[in-house]
Amino acid sequence: MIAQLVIVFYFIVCVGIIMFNCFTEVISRYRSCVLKRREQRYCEEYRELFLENITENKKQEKRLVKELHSTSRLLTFSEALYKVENSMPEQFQQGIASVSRLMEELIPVYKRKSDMEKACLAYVFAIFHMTKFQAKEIVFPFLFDLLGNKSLYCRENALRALYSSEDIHAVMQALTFLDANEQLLPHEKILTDGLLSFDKKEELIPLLWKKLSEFHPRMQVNLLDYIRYASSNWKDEMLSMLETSQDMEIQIACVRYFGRYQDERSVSFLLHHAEEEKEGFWELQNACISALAVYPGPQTLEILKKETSSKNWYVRHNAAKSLAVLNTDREALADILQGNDRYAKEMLEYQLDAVKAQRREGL
Amino acid sequence: MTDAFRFFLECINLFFIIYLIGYSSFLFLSVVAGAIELYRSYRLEQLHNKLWQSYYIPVSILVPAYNEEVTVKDTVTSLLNLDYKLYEIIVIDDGSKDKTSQVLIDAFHMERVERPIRHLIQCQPEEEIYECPNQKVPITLIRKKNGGKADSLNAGINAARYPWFICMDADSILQHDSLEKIVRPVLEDENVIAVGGSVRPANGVVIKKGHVIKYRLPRNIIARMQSLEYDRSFLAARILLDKINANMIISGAFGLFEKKTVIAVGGYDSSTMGEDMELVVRLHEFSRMNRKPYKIDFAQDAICWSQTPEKLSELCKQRKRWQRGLFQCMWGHRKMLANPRYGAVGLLSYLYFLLYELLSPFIELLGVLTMVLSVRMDMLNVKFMLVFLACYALYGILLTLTAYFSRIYTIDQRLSFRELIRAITACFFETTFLRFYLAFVRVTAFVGYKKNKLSWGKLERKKMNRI
Repeated sequence: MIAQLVIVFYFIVCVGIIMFNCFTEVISRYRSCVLKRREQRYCEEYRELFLENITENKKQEKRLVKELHSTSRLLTFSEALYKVENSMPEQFQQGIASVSRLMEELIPVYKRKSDMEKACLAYVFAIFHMTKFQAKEIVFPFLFDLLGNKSLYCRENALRALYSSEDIHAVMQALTFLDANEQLLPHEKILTDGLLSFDKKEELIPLLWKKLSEFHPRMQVNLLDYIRYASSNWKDEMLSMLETSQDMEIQIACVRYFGRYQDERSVSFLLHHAEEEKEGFWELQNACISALAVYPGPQTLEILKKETSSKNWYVRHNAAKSLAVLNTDREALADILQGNDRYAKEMLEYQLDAVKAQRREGL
Repeated sequence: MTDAFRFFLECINLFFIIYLIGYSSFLFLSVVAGAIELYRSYRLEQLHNKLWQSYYIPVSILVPAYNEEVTVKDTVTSLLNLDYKLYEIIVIDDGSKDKTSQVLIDAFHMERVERPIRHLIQCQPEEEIYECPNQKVPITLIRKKNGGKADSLNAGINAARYPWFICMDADSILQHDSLEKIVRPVLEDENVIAVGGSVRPANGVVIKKGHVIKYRLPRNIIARMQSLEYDRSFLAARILLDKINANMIISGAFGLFEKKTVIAVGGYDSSTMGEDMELVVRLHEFSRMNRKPYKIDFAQDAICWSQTPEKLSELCKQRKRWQRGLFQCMWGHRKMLANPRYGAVGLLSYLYFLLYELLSPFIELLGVLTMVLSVRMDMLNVKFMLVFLACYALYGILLTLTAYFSRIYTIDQRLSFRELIRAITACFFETTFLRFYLAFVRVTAFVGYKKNKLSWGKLERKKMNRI
């Protein structure tokens, strides 16, 4: 009896699965045929509306805003804008400010929708730089609300929308917010590389320096990495940070800055820490050794040669590499190349050949 | 005697009812979870919920190779076409008897170097190392004494420069965006220590510079059946187990691992055939024992195209190898069984693999034997049995097709009527014939176990469709 009941139950499930698959097939065909054509039609309509300057006609404006309550229509609208931006950039620039202000009216509607749809609206704001033209008191609370969302994509789209506003105070506020809520902090690469998309770097960075010490060390390291990629104009501040900070990660970030942008004032720090084998600080030693590759000199040579015999494999590796990058004469390295330390000899030989091969290939 | 046998049959009946309800429920849940997740990923993509640019974390791609002269050059060439900026390729020639190394040296103008390598994990010593600095990314070739796939991967880990590595097979091809997609979970969650990619049979696909130009179900019926089987297992079971962080397997054909964690657990175990599963289980064990927050994830849109056997004999060799590897792994980590210390891995995932993967061929064989005995004793309701088998087969076919359709629809592909018929017929034969045949093959995997426990057998390779 039980077995028969089970079989009947599974037959019913099978029928349900067949119906589900048929339904999905029908929807898929409908979507690809009917809906697609309809979307193309709407796209053309929106394009025409935009070019006619929609905000001059209140009735059309209202109709459009109502239609954009639907996320699929919003996507179609953004596609239309994208086409105009690419084919008619001048007309796009003329019309985008007024359309951006119109889009503000969507915020209360999308606030009630799912996280994915909110992120979609933030995406549209970001790609067309709408936040530049919108009322900050309306759009920023929406974006900051998204910034506190557990979905990484909400936060990413919100950050991008804030970056596109070109408002340095808004960006600072966003960074402060993320710093205060460490669980929301995105991966360092996302934060650092994302910040690089912000256009007003030279205006943002002074503000960052002012407030840097208020951030947690992890955020400080991310911002220092960002500054390293963004600008070479901050050597004084970076040097001060290097000399005063007690946090090893922050010091490493500063050392990397001076490995990228030469400044002779950093050499004494680099030389001191390059030869200091302190327990638990080999990463800092290693970073200094790498940075010394752009600071040729007799002391550099002496320390790097010494560190090719370090107990730490990575230190030996980087010391040998830095010597090779400095294009050091083989004669000057004869004591290692013909010496008794097999590990130092092997490492140095390999690095000299590798760097030579890369230079030959123009790398 | 008859009463005793009747009682025995009742017990067997009860066992099978519970067993099959358990399996069908798991299959149903996993296909539902897989379909929902696929739809969710599709919606995320549609609504521009994505990372704005490719955030590159440096990755080393390890390609162990043994007698792969036919495919290795194409594999490395395909890796050079990846849309990714920061990675390196390390091919480890595990003492091939053919021209695997020479093919690479000639194709990429590699030069021999005396590179010191730090042996963080024990492995067979390197004999020669070649490098090639003039390609888009550094390519390293390590020739070493034969030690097996696990040993080769360990050698690759030792040589890897970057904090993450990918293991893949020498006969596989990645799509142009596979690296970017498999790395994404790492950016989303700092606790991720490993990510599995989605492996699909390459038979029937045409790839140009990392882009799939044409895809249809393979012409070869054996490969076609496997294609549907892969969809069912990758898109269903893995997604469900991923949700509860209980994935016990990342395919050796395509997986991303955090190097320092793999080194901490001692690298791949070269004493087992199932080194891919064994490593993942060890990662679970290590993280749970050390109370380290961790996640082993699955990126269903990070795709690797891999050759599947087109001959039944080759398929049998492969499945026997998998069965032996599975046994070695399960036996080696038997303390996890129903052990709450291992959370969902011990309480659910291990149990599933034990009952429905490792022991299933024996259980199915028991079922067949019981049926035969029942027929002899005239105790079998044949009509009922046929209805039951038909229902069971229909259920399995429909769930497999659902998994297949879910994948097709969420990549906006359209199925022609012909493809649909091919899918249905392949599903039918897979459920009614291939499963039972492979169950028998898996039972025989332990014949000559001691002699063959680390043997791969001879594998036939063929070039993949490429423009």
